[in-house]
Amino acid sequence: MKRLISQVVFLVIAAAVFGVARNEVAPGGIDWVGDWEQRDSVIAAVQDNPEALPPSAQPDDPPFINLPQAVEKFEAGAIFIDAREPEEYAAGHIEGAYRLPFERFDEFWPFVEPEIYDDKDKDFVTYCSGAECELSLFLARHLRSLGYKNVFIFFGGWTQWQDHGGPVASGEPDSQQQS
Amino acid sequence: MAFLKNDWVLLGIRLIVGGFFVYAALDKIGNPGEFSRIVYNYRVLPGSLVNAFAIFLPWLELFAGMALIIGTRTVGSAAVITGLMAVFIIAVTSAVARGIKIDCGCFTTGGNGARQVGLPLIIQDAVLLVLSLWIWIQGAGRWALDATSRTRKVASREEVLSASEA
Repeated sequence: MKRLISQVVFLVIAAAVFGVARNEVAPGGIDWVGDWEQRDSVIAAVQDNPEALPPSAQPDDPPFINLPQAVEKFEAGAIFIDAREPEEYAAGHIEGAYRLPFERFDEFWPFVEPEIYDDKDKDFVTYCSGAECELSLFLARHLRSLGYKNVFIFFGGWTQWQDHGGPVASGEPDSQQQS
Repeated sequence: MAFLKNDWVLLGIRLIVGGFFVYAALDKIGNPGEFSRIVYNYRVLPGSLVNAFAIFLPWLELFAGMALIIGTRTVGSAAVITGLMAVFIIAVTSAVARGIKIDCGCFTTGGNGARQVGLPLIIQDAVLLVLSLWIWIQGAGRWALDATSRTRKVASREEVLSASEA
């Protein structure tokens, strides 16, 4: 029993020492106490539907819209932009959505920008997988910073769209050459 | 079931379980920010503890996994791994029970296309728990750095007995 305890304590201390050291020294370290609780309260204040929002939502973010609002935008001809990975886009996406993976933005933006540049004043709707995915939020913030004023975030995303049975498509986008 | 005490079987179990843990730890160590978000998404820990946990846990996984593979501090590392598997199973089960769809954060922090929590994951975790528990009870066997004689095995059995009495 004593051996068990001493071995466990050894492993725990070793992990703590290396964990602290790596976090302090190596790049990409994080704060010891995150602002998660603050995020929770911000989220609760931002919208009536707190569980449908990403953890990092801020009060000055582009507006979040729910499924009925997204359907309304879709029918009104808003431009939908898919922030997920290309493989996920190929497997299925909202009909007519552009492919613009946020994590590979610089790579795909040159193919998307010429398509939407003249429509800057239109409504844009970003989405990703759904709850707990934040790519749509990051993409919306970025698009707004590029001068697209009317960006909305459909945070229910692909999951809710599918459940709802909205129009979908799969495969590569028609107009974008990049694969 | 005598083969379960075979030294080669014990070695195999250690390599599998330890390998899982080392592999699982590496991506998390490289991406603490992403991993902290995954921990947060489970909504199990208080927000103030999320980051410290995300910094500490992968290293515990790494060291416990390495120790189990090499066969040093076997009792301790097997106990740690058994305990962690129990914690993971509880966390995943509670996520599934609450109906939240999240990435499990098991082997990759990448998010997209990563595994989501669900029954297959719980079963996999349960198998790992049983395997590590067996090493905890049985010891590392002969092919281990610090267990070259049978006395180790006897010692670990006695420990288990005394632990169960306590």
